[in-house]
Amino acid sequence: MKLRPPVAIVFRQAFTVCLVLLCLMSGASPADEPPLSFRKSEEHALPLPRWSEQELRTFRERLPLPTAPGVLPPTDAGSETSINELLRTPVPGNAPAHHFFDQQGHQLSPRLQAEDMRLFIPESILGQAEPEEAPAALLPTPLSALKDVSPEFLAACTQNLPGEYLIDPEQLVPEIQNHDMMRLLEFHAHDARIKLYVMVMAHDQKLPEGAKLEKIASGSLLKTDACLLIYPQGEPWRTRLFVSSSIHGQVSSSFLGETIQACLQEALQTSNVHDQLRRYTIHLSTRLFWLQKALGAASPAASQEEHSLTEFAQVEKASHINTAFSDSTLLIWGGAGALLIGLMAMAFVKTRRSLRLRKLRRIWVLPEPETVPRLGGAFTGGGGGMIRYA
Amino acid sequence: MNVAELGFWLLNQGAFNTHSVSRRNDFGIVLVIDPAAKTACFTLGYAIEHCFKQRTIARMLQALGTHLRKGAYGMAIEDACLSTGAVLRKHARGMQWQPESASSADSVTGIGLQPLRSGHRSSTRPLGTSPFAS
Repeated sequence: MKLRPPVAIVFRQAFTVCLVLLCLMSGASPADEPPLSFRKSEEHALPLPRWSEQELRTFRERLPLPTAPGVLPPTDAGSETSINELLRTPVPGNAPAHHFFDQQGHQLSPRLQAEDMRLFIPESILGQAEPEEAPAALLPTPLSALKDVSPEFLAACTQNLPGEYLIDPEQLVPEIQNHDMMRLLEFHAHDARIKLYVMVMAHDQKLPEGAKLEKIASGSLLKTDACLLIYPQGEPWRTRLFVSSSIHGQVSSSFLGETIQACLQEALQTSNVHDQLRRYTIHLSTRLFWLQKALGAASPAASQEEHSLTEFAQVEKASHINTAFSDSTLLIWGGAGALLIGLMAMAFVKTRRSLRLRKLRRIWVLPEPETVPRLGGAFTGGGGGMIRYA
Repeated sequence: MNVAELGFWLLNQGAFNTHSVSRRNDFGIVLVIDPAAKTACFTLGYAIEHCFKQRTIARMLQALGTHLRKGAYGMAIEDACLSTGAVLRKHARGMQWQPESASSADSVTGIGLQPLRSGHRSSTRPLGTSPFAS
């Protein structure tokens, strides 16, 4: 047996002690977890949102497939630290959810609803469809299906305050769009002399005949130069525009007709009914500014007169429609007449040709009487006449 | 021979092209004009004599004489043809000509007669020296 030298033994022991000292000085090994107290203090310092199992289940149900557009492919299939992977995999009865989110003893921040997640998570990841409250009135309502607004509707419009430029008794405009419209109309009223009021009704409603609009918005339409837009939601082509009679008398019918047409074209650039209202209103506001600029500042005496509302562009629209209708009718009848004349001419030529041909082929057949022989022989003729013309 | 005799001879002896050879020239009319003697004569067949009254023939001859005095032989012949055609049309019946039904058995050539008008045709003349032959 070979004995180790005592120096080597001493060196080995010193080396071991150094290693232990080094480990103790670094203070952590990769296999150790931080102590529980340190973890809890960290959690209290950095509050993070927590999801419950039900919320996770809801998110998981609404997630698109991994092959859907906009969804990023997972970088590591086995990683449990990816929130997407966690949402896609079924939640087991224990560990993984608790491993990430400790629910016990944790005071939850205000619970996030699925709709709130939409504020900072793209739609493509959530895989959510369009909200149901956006009505898609793509087809125009037949005239026979239109019904008059109820008296309660008109009464509610009458009770609107003068400063409420958007009149929407049935709350057809959602809250966000409502606020946008209010801000727009208030901005317009702040800078413009011609106030703009917008009354929104359902797509299948219309104003009754003889409806009195002077009392709308507590009679504020009569106190100043105003423009009232009657807007059936989703059908901008059926809008009606009323302006103060003083303005109506100073403006040409062509400008008013062009205004309506331009606003309609602007609105029809989108299919979203709320965007249509917004675009229509913005363009009408712009046009009213131009009108105000063209009319110039009103005289004090004129502004003190009581205003009445007059609808414009109705007659012009009808005459334009009639003109268009008459043009198309004229074109159709003209074409039919030309065709008829052409056919008659062809028939005349053909008939004349056949008559001429028939005339050429016509023969005259004389009767064949029995002739009695004369002069004692088989003679055929001899009668007649003679003339000396010298 | 005057124009009347010549007309008589032509109507009774002439083989004119007719639709019914058996009736010969019963339906024929001959107009003979003699510019030298300044005479003209109408000769009518027996089948159409009843169509022309004396007054009609006199009017036709008067119109003929008017043109012949001016030397308008063409106009005279055309006027005579048109007036006789108008007179005959009053007594005739109109119908459409059907070439398929026209019979050729009664033609002139079928019974061995040589029409007068065919005498000037080269096919019927005896072969002789041409004035342009070298």
